[in-house]
Amino acid sequence: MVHATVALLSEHDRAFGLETVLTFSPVVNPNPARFVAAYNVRSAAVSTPYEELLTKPVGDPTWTEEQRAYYTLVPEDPRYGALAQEIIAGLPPDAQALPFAQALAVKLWLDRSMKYTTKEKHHNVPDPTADFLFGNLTGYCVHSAHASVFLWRSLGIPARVSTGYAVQASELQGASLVVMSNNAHAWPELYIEGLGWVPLDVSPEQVLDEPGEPVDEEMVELLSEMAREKPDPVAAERRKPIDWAGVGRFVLRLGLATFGAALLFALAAAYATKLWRRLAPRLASARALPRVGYRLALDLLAEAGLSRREGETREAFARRVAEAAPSFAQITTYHLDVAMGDPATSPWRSQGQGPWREALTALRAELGASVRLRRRLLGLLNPFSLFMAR
Amino acid sequence: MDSSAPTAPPSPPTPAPRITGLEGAYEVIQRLRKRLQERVIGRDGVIDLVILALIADGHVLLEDFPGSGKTTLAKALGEAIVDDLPQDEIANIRRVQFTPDLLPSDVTGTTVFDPNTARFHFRPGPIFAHVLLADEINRTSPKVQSALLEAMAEKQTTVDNHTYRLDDLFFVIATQNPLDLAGTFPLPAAQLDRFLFKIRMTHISRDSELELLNNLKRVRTGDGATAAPVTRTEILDVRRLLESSIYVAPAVKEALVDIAAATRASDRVLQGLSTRSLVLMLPALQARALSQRRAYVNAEDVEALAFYVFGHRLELAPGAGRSEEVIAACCKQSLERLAKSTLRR
Repeated sequence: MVHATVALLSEHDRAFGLETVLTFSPVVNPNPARFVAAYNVRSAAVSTPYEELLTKPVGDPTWTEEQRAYYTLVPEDPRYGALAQEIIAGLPPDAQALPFAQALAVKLWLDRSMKYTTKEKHHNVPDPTADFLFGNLTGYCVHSAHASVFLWRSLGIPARVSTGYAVQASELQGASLVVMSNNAHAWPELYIEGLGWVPLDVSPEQVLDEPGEPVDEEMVELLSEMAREKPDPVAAERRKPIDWAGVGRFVLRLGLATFGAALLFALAAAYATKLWRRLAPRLASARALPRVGYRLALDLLAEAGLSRREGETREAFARRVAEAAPSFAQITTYHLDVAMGDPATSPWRSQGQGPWREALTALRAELGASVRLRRRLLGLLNPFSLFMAR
Repeated sequence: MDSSAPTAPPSPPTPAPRITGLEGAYEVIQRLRKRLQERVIGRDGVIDLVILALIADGHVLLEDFPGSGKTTLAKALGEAIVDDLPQDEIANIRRVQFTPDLLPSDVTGTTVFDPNTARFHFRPGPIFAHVLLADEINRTSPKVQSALLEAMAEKQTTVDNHTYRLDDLFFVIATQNPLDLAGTFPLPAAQLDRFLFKIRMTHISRDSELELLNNLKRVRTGDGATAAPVTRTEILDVRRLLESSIYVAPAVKEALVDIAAATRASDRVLQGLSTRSLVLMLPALQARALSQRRAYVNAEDVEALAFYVFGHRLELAPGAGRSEEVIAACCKQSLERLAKSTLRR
């Protein structure tokens, strides 16, 4: 099992890792100014010695016939089979039937035979692999990978070409390496039962190209330092793309919570106000009684579904509800005598609690008689009936 | 010119006790109302308004058609007010039929030369009366209309540079026909402003009309009238009482000012209410409160009188609709505020 952290210097379509990748997991970008993204990779690597591989069968018994046929498909060119037979003929007799030994023999043959160069591209031919393999044997990784795969397949070994990046082990600095676009590579893999796809790359002995510029060691060190840095949380936060859907959900939830709280508060306040307005006439001074007493009468009427219309005078309202609540006319008169009368004559002094209590009791009785109980109970429960008491 | 004396001789003046309390004032109004209702059938609304105008010391302009009972109403009013100062020789009721050739002196009176004493005597015109019925006021020339104007506004008239005081009670009921306008001189806004109320009369109900025909004799002669008349002094007492005893709450005044502001701001109105119309509105409101046996003015008073007081003082924009609607719209918000104000501390 291999763990590694990949920090991308530029955008990359697909995530990549070491060997056979099992899982990817995102990590916080350690340096957003430098890297596009970063992630952890967990991959599997073959740890079995090659000697043990020799005896292992290839392919997978769970494969369907279709899958097996897919991975052993070769071009209709008899030369592949002939060459492959020719190569394995050189194997010791006890190893000739072992698939991995056969594969290894093909690889070693290619190692010896091919001449590596990126200049020979085998363009414009119907089968570049055949052109390479049965021609000048000069080419690069794509040619050798395909040649290996077709030779293996013609021996019945399931194989495929993999593409990715390959970096020389010598370029590893400590535990860091820099992968660049010229590290792009293609290599052959064969399927070994119980292990899966195992790369078995050709390494040509003859290289015609000049060796490339070695990678700047200081740069590798600098980049690897950067990649290992603790991320700056603020910068990371700033860099992180805004999750609008998440923000939307948050706002929605916050809004709902606020609305719910406000609604609860409003309900509580409304009931408290209702209760207070119901009790106020008992506690009110003689001076305030004409106001709070009348207000209670309005509340009682509102709970019974009777409220003053916009623009209607208080007297007109009293006349309108006279049938259901005859006492309300008297209450209205008491109220208006004080509210609109001459304060110098102070009619409130002469009224006192008595007549108010009587009138309110009478009003309650009248509403009880003329309005259905269900309607009154609904009104009592309605927290906002006080807004109807105008 | 047609001047008619009261048909029945006034009953001997009784030294009535002066009116001091609201109850007394209310009783006077009730008596007058009852008396008029007996004589003029099916016009209770108009009677009430005329009484309010009389109490509020204003004048009324009746807009109606001939034969609708306006003379009857004016005569009944004149007869219902007993002159308890008979020595002043002021008639209870005078009627002037306004025509295009009428002259101001026909209304105000004129000085005539007496050859016996070789001196000029002032002969008072019909304007010297308690109640003046100015019939078809828009048929006469502006000259005569303006002669009446001074009298209505200031209760005085000037003839040959000599100013004569009119009676304190002086009350004008003017009429005009709203349809038959050929050859008329429409009253200008300033003249209209002299009238506290402009009342548009409609036909009386079927039952009232039937009752009138059934009791024609009694209605005509006033025989069998049960309600006692009121005296001039009583009316003047009630007027005085109105000012001192009927309370107008600050909120009501605020509502009036707001209504005026609303008419000035409304785009349905060319010219909004004048400040004077608000000043005139107050006694009318107080009169209505008193007539309802109330010691203070309330929102209903404003609602009930707004059209009669403001209707002829507003100049509406073309296509604004009926003035009733415009005034109701302008009043609505202020009245709502007034209603809400009573619940405020």
